[in-house]
Amino acid sequence: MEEILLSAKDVCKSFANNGEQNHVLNHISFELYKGDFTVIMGASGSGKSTLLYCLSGMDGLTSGEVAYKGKRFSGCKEKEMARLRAEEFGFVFQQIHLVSNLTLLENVTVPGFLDKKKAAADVKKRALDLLEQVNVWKAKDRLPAQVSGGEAQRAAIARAVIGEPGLLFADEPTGALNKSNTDAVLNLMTDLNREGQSILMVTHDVRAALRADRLLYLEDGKICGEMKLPPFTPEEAKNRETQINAWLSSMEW
Amino acid sequence: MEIITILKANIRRQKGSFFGIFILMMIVSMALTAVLTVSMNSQKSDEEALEQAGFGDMLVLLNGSGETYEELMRQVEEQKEVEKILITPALAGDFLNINGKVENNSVMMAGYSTSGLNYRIFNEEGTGYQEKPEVLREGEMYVPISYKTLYGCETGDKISLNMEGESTAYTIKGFFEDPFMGSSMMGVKTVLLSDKDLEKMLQSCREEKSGNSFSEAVMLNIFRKKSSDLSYLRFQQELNKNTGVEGYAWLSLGKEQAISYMLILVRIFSGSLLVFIALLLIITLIIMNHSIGSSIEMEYVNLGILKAVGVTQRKLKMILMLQYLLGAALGAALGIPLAIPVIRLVNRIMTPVVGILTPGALAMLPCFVALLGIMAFIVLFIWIKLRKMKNITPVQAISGGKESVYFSSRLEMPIRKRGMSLWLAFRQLTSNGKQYISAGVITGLLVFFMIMMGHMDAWVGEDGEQFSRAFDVVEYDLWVHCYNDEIQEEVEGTIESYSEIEKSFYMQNTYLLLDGCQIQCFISGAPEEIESILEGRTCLYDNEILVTEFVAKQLEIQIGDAVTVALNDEKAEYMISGIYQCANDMGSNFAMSKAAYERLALSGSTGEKTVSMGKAYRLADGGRAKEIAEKLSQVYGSELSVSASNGFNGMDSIVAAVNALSLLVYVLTVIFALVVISLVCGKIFAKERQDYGIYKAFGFTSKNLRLQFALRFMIVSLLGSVLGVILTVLLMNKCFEMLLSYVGISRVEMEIAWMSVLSPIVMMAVVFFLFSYWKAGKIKRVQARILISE
Repeated sequence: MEEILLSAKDVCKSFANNGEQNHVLNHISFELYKGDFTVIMGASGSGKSTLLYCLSGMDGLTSGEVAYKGKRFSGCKEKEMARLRAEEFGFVFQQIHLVSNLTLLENVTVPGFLDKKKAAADVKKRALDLLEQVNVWKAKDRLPAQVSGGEAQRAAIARAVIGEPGLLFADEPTGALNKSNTDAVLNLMTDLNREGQSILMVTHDVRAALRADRLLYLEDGKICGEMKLPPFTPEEAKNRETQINAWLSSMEW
Repeated sequence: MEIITILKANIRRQKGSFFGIFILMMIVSMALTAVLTVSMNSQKSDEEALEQAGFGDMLVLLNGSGETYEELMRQVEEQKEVEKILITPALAGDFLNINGKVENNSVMMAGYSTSGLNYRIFNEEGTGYQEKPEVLREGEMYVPISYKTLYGCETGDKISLNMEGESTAYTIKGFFEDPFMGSSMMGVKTVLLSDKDLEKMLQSCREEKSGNSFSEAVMLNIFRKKSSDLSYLRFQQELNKNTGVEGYAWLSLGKEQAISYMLILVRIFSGSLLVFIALLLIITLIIMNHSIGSSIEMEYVNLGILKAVGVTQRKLKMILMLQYLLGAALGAALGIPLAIPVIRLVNRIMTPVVGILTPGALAMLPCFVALLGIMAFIVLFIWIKLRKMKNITPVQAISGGKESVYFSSRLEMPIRKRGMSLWLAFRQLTSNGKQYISAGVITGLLVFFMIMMGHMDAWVGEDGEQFSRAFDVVEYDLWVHCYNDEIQEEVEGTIESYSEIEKSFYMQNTYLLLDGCQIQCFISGAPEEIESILEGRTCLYDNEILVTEFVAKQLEIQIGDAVTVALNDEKAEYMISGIYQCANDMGSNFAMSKAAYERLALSGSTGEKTVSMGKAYRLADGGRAKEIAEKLSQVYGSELSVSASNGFNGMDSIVAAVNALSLLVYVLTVIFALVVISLVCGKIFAKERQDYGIYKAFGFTSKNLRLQFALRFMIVSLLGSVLGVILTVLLMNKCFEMLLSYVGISRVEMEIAWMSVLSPIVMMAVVFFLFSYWKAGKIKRVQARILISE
């Protein structure tokens, strides 16, 4: 029996625009399982990034509820949300969003320092290990503006997992990268997932979606389809891509 | 049309800077209008009041009857620079008791109807004049309005003097405006008596009755010819050279000198505030500089787009110029009417201190010219700042600017887990220090001024005791002048019953002619005790004198020069042995030893062998000096004059003025600091909004981020304060010298009191911390979701 990590029930999100309600998410319900690499796909404006931020508690819900490890957190206080973000969730953004005046190493260590239970030296050691793992160790003392987009995004992934989060959220993590950097980032995420890291990623890039073992398709704020896949292997990539493309076509992608 | 559209949009978007500059300029304009108006109106109204009362260019009070001086008066009248002289009978004397308090107060008494001067009587509130003031009856007197401040007098209070051995009380009928000597800062005052009382007292003097605390005098009101082109000093010197009139005077004062004394407090107040206003203006320009710089930086893309769609460089400059100028001009315009209640309030406070009624009407022309000058300077300043815009090309702008807007430099300081907020705050500060420079410099300037005011407060002292030392040439606690030598021993016995006498020496202040100018002379039996020698050495021998820097400058004399000192008909030559400092008569005084004075006073044909002089006492228990003075006054009455060293009644006014000034400076400083923080915070917050989203995404709470933000500003304030301290060390004494030159103090060597330094620094740090924490409340509203749209 798969362990439920995060569950969404009847999640709705609307924005008021000049007095008109724009329903971005419409009664979405689904569950995420521990160890899964889940990808949400959908056309532009389908609401996938909004869903990601609602599920991670970065944005409020209009109605519905979200629970992490069985504990409802939608609507809880800022302090509790901050604790969840610091200790349970990790984030990777499309635009990378490293703090521009901190070095790559500091960008990784600062969120780690928020965990009061961990000693500073341990956090620093783990940060250095992670930077080595993501292959940006040499650039660790540089500012984000002084490194390539790929290096910055890999450092951002290291930052996201410094607190050993239960769930890693990734919003189009390869959206702003070239091909070689995209591959490096996706390999890294695949490796992390193999090590047991649960991942929920939003993307519209089929190459990124290949790495998932579960695909959800979002259209007009609703989940319209779901596809399960075996664990990714590079050898199977071509077949998998054909398979996913076919599924997406059936979804009128 | 497009200019107005873009201008409106810019103001809407940057309303924070617009209102900030508006408020700063409003404060500057309000303060400047108030200071200029009070200062100009005081000068004008004193001149008008002198004219209206009928004062001439010089007032001389000669001790004795008119007959004694007939020849002298004729000589004065015949001088070619003299238009006419007005001679009126008067009395010179001392009050014994004012409003129930023992006071040894020297006064000139004149008849209300016979003085030949048209004095105006104040209404009950002191806000205007009585149209038809009542004629004084026997036993009544009009006193200067400064008696309210000096002695707390009200209508109906009693003032007493000794007449024929008996204490005679007079009732205060009302208060009059004395534009010549009515300021609380001046030692000798005029009071007006009924004609009958004056006649009665003159008669008593003429009959040589004993036990009077007054003597007959004659008042000469000397008018200079309108055509005369001599300065007051030259006129005075010429008159004395030819007639020696001031040498016989109990009191002598020129019109210009009188105005200077009358307005001394107004000038201290205005001088200090003008310096402060200049400082505020500099701060406003720094803020404008910061605001324009960051606006161009942050609006880089928009400006590029506007250029791309055809808006010319000139038009863009015009828009930004109007945007800043409009805020400044509206603020300056609103500041003018807002100054009216301030002026009224200041006038209400100042009337009983300065002694004259000052109108509240705005001094439109000088204010307008000053503000116009400031606005012209601001136009030039903005124009220079906007030159930066030339470098913006549409391509550069649209591609995100020529350089990274954020964090172009950084100082290596590792982020540590312990105290992480502080380390992060420090990093945010050092990685883009440029944008905090303005806030730091402003803090430095404000802290510097607050430290100055703190030192001024401390220097003046709680009851002005410290400040009054500037008026004493030597250190002493009590001064007694026994008119009857026989009581001297008894008096000293009384003093010793209160406190042991540690040292006593002869000491007297009198007026002598120094190179033809009547100047106060300090005579000391112990010249080696004179403390404030600035250059040279003290006047040890009987042919030496000391002069102040003011006298040296005024008479163009220096150490080693020979000068002539005259008393009545006697003249003697002296050499200047040194320069010293004393604030008496606004620094216009000189000093000599008792022996030197005797060489002059006893050299004449009078055949006198001794001079009558007071004695100064240094007591083991100096704190009892006032008590002893009161006792001696009560016991011996008109047989002696007595005063404690800090017995200057005008001190209360100075202390009150300095306190009011300090309060004003503190209030304006806090307001300015708040506006500055608000503006700088707004700009920085807009720049760093995204970073807050990132920090929140990784588990930082709003409280934590606000704390970082506030800590950063507190660090800026502390670093700025360092600049304030450096300015204090370098400039404080110079600034004080400039300011205190109004009261005759030319050199100040004040030691820095670190408590007075610490309190403004702490105050600014707390204000910066609390206000920036409050301003950072916006962080609460920053959602991590802003990162989606970024």
